[in-house]
Amino acid sequence: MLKKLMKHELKATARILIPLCLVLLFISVINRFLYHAGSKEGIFLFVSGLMFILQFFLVIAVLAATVIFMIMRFYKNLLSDEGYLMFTLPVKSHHLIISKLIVTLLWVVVSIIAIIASLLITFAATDDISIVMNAINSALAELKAYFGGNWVLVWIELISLTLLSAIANILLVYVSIAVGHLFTKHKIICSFVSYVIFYNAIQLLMLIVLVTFSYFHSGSINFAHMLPQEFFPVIIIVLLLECVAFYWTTNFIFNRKLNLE
Amino acid sequence: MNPILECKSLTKKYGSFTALSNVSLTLDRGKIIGLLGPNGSGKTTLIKLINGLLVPESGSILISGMEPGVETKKIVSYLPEKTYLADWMQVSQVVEFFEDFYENFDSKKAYEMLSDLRIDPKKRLKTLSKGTKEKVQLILVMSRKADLYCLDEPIGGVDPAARDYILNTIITNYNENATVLISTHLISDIEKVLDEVIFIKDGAITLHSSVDDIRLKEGKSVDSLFREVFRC
Amino acid sequence: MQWSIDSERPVYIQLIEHIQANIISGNFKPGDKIPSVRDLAAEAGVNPNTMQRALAELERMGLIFTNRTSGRYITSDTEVIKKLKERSAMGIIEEFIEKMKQIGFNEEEILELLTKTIKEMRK
Repeated sequence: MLKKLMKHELKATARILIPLCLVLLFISVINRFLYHAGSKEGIFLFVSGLMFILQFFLVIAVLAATVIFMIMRFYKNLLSDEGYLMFTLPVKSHHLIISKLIVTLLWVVVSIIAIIASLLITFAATDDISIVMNAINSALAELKAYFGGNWVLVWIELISLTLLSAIANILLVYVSIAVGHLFTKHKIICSFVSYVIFYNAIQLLMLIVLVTFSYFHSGSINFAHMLPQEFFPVIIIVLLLECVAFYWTTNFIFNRKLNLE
Repeated sequence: MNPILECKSLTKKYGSFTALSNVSLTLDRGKIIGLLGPNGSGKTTLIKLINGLLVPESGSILISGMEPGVETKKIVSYLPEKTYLADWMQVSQVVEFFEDFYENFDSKKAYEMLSDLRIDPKKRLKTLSKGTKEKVQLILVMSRKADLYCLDEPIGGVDPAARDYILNTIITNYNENATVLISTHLISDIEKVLDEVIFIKDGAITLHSSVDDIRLKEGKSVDSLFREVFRC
Repeated sequence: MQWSIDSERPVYIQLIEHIQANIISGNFKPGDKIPSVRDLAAEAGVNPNTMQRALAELERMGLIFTNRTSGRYITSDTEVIKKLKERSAMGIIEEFIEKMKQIGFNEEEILELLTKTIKEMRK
């Protein structure tokens, strides 16, 4: 059932996002020629200027579309009229949440790849690339040193950190929308307010945890001095708890407090 | 004969407002039943409870002996008053969607009914009129081989010819294992098709009887009785 | 075929009357096969259970019989049909006589008027 929900979710979102990404890449390729052709004459400059602005707007559009779909799909498909269909399907409500989470995550990854590809396609020359690669490699090497040369651990923690952070942010949006649904009037405002409250609560929690951990670990409350191999796990655990809490709350609201208009 | 629906002392509140108070009700299989009552009487609340869209404050509700959940959603087919289909989808895509999620969905039947009503499956729902969208929804709901059909105002927004078609579909779809629960205001149109009627007022059931019994005892149609009982 | 069902009287009774009328008039001939309950109900625009009740009652009256394998049939028993026809006619006649009496005619006058009218109608 989960697969079917995801398939449906992909169908609903791909029809806008894929064309958008393709157009972005197409314009990027065109702009590469404009960039390297380099003629500085009047009309040409004007046209290529416009093209670069277009590319810029497309990058914004891809990002915006991903965020907007994340919010709209959750709200419109589950908590407005379409909810009558989705919540009477023979599926568990947490599958409804997970299917949207996974597909949103997928689009986040796809848009980031598309944007990086777009920039690389248009602006990158071979020496640019090696400069960037060197910078990345040396940062990773430094990180590896902290972890006592343990590559695997570095990658596990980096990936967990990125993934959990993305998931936590998405679930934060979902739980805010779900909390907003509990109110009969001004649902959207309540969602927004609860987003702000949850966001700040998490920031505060993170701060408290880091300070506490730093204090007990090294006697100083300045956690900026914490080493990556201590810093990362703490954040990962907090993020994990955040994900669980938001997921559980959203599911609870769906199971016990659903009230479609 | 196990009943398809059993409600015992069912109560549902919205804040301080009691939508259903202590409702006890049993629906047998193989019946076409009308749920009749004025706006705000609790009809839609009851139907939502049957479909697991609401959780009661107290009391129990069992569909085919099971509590509302994934298993009951497989055997209950729900037609809400609203259009609940995504506008961007084509009719054929919606049929595919139903086929995907519901094992007991008969897509052949659905396409037959669509062609009977001259609805083009290639059209996007966005381009259809409200009445046509409602017909599509009804076709989807009736194409499932469910044990309980909950139809909320199925004939309200459609023209008289389509109305006849819909009532005809309900009759020919009949099987002794399945029950159709119809919530409506248009009683006179639908009276002959109903086995039983339930009158509901202010969250309580005031009458549950067969149509013929009412005509025998009261000497008038259910529609007339309704107007009397619910006079403003 | 138009089934006119009014809203005041029980549906199953009206269904019985409608079928009886069709048997009498010969629309349903003796030995004719009857459509399935569902088809008949759909044609009449009524609930299948109600139609089933009407058919069961008609069977009890001996106007319909069920063959377990092939379905329901109008009885071939012409005696039964004849009796039905007679009973129906008696009902109409009794009602007519009552109404005429209410207007003020006595029995001889009714018979006279009846014979005269039939002669007129033949022309």
